[in-house]
Amino acid sequence: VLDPSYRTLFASPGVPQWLDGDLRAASRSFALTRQLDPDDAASGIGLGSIAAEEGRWFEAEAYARDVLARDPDSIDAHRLLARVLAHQNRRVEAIEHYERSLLLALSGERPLDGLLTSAPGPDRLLDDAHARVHAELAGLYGRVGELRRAVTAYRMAMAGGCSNLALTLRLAACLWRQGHPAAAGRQLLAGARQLPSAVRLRLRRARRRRMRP
Amino acid sequence: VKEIDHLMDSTLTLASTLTVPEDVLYQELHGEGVLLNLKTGVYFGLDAVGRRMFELIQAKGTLQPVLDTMLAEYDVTQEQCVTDLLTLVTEMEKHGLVVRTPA
Repeated sequence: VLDPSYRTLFASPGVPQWLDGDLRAASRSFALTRQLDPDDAASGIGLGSIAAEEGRWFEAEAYARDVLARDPDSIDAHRLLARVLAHQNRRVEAIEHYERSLLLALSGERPLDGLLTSAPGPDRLLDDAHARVHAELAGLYGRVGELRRAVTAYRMAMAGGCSNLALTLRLAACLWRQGHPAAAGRQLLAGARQLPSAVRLRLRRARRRRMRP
Repeated sequence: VKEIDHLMDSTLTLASTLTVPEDVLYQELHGEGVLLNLKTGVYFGLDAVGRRMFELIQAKGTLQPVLDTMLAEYDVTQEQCVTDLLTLVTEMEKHGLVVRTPA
């Protein structure tokens, strides 16, 4: 008898289809996987994420909550739900779910697309999106007026490798609103230095979009 | 390194005064906390009790008032709280998240 505990994100063909941009096929595959195994978190997250991408926010929320009901420690479900709630301007709730996802990663849980490793070590964080979540939180803190926390979250995101022109400018704006014009100015200068690479990145993305069949 | 660690541990007392270096970021997260040392990249999680200890260290500097406040707020024996506080501070000091300042 084979051990059924070996699960990866690629248990259904939904993920590769999704990565290929074929959302309809991915939805069908995720739905089929979910029919066969309602506890399969990847298919629930997949269906919820596709629903979010297509603007079906209530459906996305339902999928995220369903996965959380089955697995309250699902980092991906907390993040999907936070994304949906942020879109619905339910910022305090969104903050709560993003924060919980970070704490889960710190306590050793890993997201579905985390590395498959047999010996992760006690001090290794297997959460590629950790810095990006700090950046999402920074934006939300800023919008609810928690500027000090926003600044810290931007700095944590950047230190974690999530650094781009938009984040630098948002950090500058937060520092300005906090009454730190010199620090805001330093960030604006840093932003000016990031401008050429940001333009290059935009051009590359535009070229890639044009080449897509 | 072990010798230095030992010396650091041996001199840490409740009279020790600590500060948080400028390049250490602290964020409260859903009742718990995280610390990031920008110089070393050390990312350190604190549970609710650890978070409270850290916030008190930030506010009060010296460990004795931190201990007094913890004893007033939590149902814990003094012995246990002293052990936990010194263990946490030793660990944080090892990672450069707090530094001892001369009294």
